[in-house]
Amino acid sequence: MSPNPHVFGTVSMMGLACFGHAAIRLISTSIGHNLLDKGTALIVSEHNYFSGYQKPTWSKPGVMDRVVGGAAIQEYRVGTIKGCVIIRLDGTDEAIIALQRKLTQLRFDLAKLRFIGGRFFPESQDIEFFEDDPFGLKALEHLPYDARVYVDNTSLIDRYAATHQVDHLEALMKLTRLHEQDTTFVATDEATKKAKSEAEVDQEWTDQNDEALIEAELDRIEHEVEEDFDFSLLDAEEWADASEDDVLACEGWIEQYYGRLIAVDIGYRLLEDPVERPHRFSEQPHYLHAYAEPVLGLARLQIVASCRKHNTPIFWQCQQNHPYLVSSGKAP
Amino acid sequence: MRSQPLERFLKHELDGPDVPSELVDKAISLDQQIGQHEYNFRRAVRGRESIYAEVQDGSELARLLLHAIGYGMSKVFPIDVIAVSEELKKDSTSEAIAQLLSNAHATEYFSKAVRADYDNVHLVKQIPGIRVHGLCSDQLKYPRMSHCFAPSATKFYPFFCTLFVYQDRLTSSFEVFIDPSLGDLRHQLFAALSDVGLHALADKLLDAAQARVTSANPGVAQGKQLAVPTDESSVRNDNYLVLTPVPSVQMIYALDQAMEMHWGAEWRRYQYMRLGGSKPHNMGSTVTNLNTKVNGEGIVNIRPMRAYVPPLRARLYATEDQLRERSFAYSTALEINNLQALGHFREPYGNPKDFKRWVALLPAALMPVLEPIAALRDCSRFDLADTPFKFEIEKQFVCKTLPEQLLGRRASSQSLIVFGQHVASMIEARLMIYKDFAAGLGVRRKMAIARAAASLSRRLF
Repeated sequence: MSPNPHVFGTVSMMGLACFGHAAIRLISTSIGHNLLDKGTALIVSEHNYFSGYQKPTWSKPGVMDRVVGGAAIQEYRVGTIKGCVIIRLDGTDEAIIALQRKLTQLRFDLAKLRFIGGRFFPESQDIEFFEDDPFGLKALEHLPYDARVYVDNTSLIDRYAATHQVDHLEALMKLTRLHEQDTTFVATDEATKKAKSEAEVDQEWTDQNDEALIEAELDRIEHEVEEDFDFSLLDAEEWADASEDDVLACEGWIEQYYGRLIAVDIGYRLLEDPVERPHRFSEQPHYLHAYAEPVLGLARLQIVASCRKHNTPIFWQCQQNHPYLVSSGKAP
Repeated sequence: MRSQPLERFLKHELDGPDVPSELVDKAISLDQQIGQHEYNFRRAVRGRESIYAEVQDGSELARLLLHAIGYGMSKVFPIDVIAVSEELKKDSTSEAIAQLLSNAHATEYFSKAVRADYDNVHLVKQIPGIRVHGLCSDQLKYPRMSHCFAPSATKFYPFFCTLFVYQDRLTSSFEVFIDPSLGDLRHQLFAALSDVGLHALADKLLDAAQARVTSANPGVAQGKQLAVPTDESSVRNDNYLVLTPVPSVQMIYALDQAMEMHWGAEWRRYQYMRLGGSKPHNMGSTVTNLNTKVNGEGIVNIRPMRAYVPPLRARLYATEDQLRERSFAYSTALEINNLQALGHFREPYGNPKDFKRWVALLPAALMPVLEPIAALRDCSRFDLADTPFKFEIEKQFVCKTLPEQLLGRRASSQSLIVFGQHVASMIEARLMIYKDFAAGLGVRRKMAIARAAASLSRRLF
């Protein structure tokens, strides 16, 4: 679900949190006890975009029935994601026991969930239950260590804007391109790093003596190594796993940097206090309604191993923080 | 934010006392300079990024707006201001312009299609920005913009879409009418319009602005609605808040400009996604209506922020339990039993220089690992195809010289890559049980080993 025309290309975090909530609601109905929704995490192990132009299509009748008001929505498929969703919940002992008893049936119940704005194919045999796991560590053990987790880093926008004296939009743009910066030569001279132009930096790089030495050494080794050795992997990697020291040397305010930052839709900002409004076409009692503006946030694509090591909060949970109604990463 | 004096903005001059250096280049021909000037003008009156005009008071602003609307009406340079004033004195014209300010044809938040035949929704942000979280229109330093949709009055759009600089602050002409902090500029503007003889227009604009600012949000909920849980006990208490997502036009314009400034020509890199007039689902036909006219006014190119998640290939790396299984099996033909020999793969590197050295020494380190397979290949045994191999890919490489019909498959270039990945996996499986937490060798190392093994095997086999 992407109810946000401001960011495009990835799953909406609000959609993810609401999807987890829908799953918990389904489970609660199935087992007959109410559960608390403590957040949802998304782990991506395979990901690719469709190439070429994807024609927007109207949703098929099967999906239309489930949409609010029965109005069709435009679907615009951009790619596929394969991975796993971890739903964190809490409940009374009774509820948990009922859940464990009915786990086999829940596997089929959860397959009834639909993801608006896309196709969702859950593997019903792969649903597992872990007890007493507030950080999701037990669940993460069963995943490939290099799968990517969406971790909430929205607070970085504010910190970056305050530190570098730019406005928030500028901060967001810079943060999403942070992985493209080459941090090596910036680390050499921290005092003047901000004042350098590109030409000066190139000049400095070539003036360094040890660079020439290393080049000579590499040339020597290269001739001994097979000619078709692929050195292209020395270029910047897609996944941008910069080492901690490299980044700390130039940007001292960011403590952990494991993975790329991307903009995501995190929720809404209310434009007004909720008001009782009547239904448009029926005589049902009024309901609380508010107009709200979409809000952008920042997520880091952190690898599972790093999350396990640092006990990172990976779960996105709906929170109301007037006037914001957002999904944010919460520690237990 | 680049700006120039109003005179310079309105007239093209070859040489002037305060001409911005970026506009004057003796090598550029006169035609090009005129073209640049017109380009700047067109962009500024359509609310795009350009070299804006600096406006000091209401009379200058009135002049700028007359020029803007003159361009909208005639689309040719030079702009005939006299004809524009005559046109604006007509009742129908001033009525149409004032209507553009009311919510019949304009909106600051897209609730649904803004069309003349729908009951349009005009929304006002009633809750001030108290705290900061993420990015929304509270934190933007961009002027408020309004999206107009009146197909018969597109030539009057520039009256409200023009961007200019007033007291070092970027504002739009729409903001002048509704923002309380620009009250003095607004009064001056009305006074200047009255001086020129456009009393009726000034009055109608004043009324429309008043009506817009004071109108309340509509009583019946319109547009797409979502029920959103408010906290963790929403299932138990059944308390959901129904929202209608309404993106703000200001944010769309600001993001468009920011994307253009940051990505510029590189935006083409993502062209394959063909956002075009971008139709994100759940926005319905609202977004479609943003650019129904190809060359008209009021066209905003929705260029959303691109959240690019690089493609993750299918399973270069195994899960931890698979790796543990493999490490205990040890029935690979590769020589990975000697941990001393595998020491190079675990060697730490602190910076890219060390990494380059480590990579350069990889083929040497891989040779002892691949030696048994090379040896198996070189010894010509008849029953090699019958020898049991745990891993298919190793069998493929050992038996490569045998006729294909014995194997029943062909080794392709892809097999080299797969073989390289297999070697990297086996090395990692062997080394993994000696690490304190199961992160394996690491993405970079693993990729490097895989590529080195692939190229080495290409030479060996």
